[in-house]
Amino acid sequence: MSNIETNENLRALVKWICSFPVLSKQLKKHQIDADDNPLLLSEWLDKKDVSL
Amino acid sequence: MLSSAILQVAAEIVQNSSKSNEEGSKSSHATAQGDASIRKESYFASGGDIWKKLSDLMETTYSDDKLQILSSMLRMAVAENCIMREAYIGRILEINQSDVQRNLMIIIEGSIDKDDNTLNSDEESIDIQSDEESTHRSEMSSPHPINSMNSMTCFAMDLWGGKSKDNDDNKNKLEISNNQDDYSLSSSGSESSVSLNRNSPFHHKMAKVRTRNEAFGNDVTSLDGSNSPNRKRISLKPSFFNDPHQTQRNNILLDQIKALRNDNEALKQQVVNAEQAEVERTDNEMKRRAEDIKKESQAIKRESIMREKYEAELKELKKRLEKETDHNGQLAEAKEKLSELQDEIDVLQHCKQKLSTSEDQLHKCRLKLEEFSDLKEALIKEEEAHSKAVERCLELENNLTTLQPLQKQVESYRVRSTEAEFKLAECEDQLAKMSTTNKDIMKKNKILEDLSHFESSEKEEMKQILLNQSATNNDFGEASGLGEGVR
Repeated sequence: MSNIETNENLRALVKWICSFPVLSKQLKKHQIDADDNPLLLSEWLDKKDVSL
Repeated sequence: MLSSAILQVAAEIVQNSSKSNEEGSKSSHATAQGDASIRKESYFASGGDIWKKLSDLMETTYSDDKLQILSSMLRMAVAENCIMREAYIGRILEINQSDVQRNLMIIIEGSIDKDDNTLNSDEESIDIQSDEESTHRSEMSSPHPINSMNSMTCFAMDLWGGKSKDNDDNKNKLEISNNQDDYSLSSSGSESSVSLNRNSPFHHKMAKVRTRNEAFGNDVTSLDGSNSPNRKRISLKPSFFNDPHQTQRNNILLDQIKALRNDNEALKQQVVNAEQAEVERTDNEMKRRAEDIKKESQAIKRESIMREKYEAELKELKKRLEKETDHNGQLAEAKEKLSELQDEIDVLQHCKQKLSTSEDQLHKCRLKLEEFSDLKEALIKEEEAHSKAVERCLELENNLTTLQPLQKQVESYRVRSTEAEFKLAECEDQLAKMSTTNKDIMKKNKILEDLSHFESSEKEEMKQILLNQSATNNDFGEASGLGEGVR
């Protein structure tokens, strides 16, 4: 699987997981739009114990 | 925290997935669930790498591959044994981006393929006994039940706009093409194409056919036995019939071919029957799913209406709560003010007595002040008089200073005046003496005047008498010569 496909799949998965109310509320609370750059979200998650 | 939210989502998926398992074996999983809940709490409580936690939670081995972890989450969410499966699928459907949906479906299908490969490797070591047995075995051995995979395939067709419901059309003859990896069903009457799972009943039939094809060479036969484009004709050499062993073997092989053809026909019939059954089952499943989705959409609508209603009520209640809170705040403030005022009243009551005494004192002071007002006027007058006196005094002092050189003159004048007075007294005495003498002289003069008067009168009288006597003498003869001598 190419990097582009991997990124696309990761993007789709992050979009899907962001559709859960718990996460969407958190994102809304912090005024983060998952559509802007979903990969950014996964990068945030890479950080340990990230607090937004 | 975002990480804890994702962990909550993962825990929710795992919980929903494990709930259905619990229904089957409640007793065996009761302790496991307790352990899982404890583990979940510890996950949420402590920090650390979220992907490792997610990997532990999902019980996957991909602790460093977030794509695989999220894929396993997705797979678990859309699996048949997940009780919230439809809600999760609904969330995928709610995503408006078709590429995202497509990628998610690719991920789901990719995972299915992986499972199929695993399953295939297992199955190849097992003798294929019968269609029913193999189907049953595949159902038992697969981590995802057959209907789960088929329904997911139908779901994939829903997503991609496939027309699987048209399968009931008799014109849509299903063609099966096989390759080494998978099978695909394609409908000639529509453009739909569906990848068949290896754990479906077709897989075992196709495996059987493929095993036999491999035994006799590729493309010796096809499912329909006639019209395959890949079909090759077996060309037999003359030596093939001359050799007795070969002939015997050929006969055996021909018998086997006949038997295989019969089997093939039977299998073909079974495949057709299975296809029809599959189509019917798929139709039923689709209808059921359509009804479920309809019910679900109605429920979602009802839920949204109720949610809006409750949200409106909640807003109203919040507003009321805010108002009540404000009111309570005002009341609390008023209470505080009241208590403060009560304290002030207590203080003022204590001061009231002081006020009465002070009022009396004030009254007295006023009276005194009124008295002092007259005094004040008098004082003002006195002050004015004092100022005038001071001015007068100053003026006099100034005059005094001017009169100081004249004082000596005054003294000399005073001496002179005393001397003059003394002399005056002496003069007065002399004057008195002179007046007395003058009076004496006047008296004497008067006496003398009287005497003169008397003498003059007497002279007159005597003159008269003499005249008379001279007149009488003249009458008597020259008596006059005698009287002239007296004058």
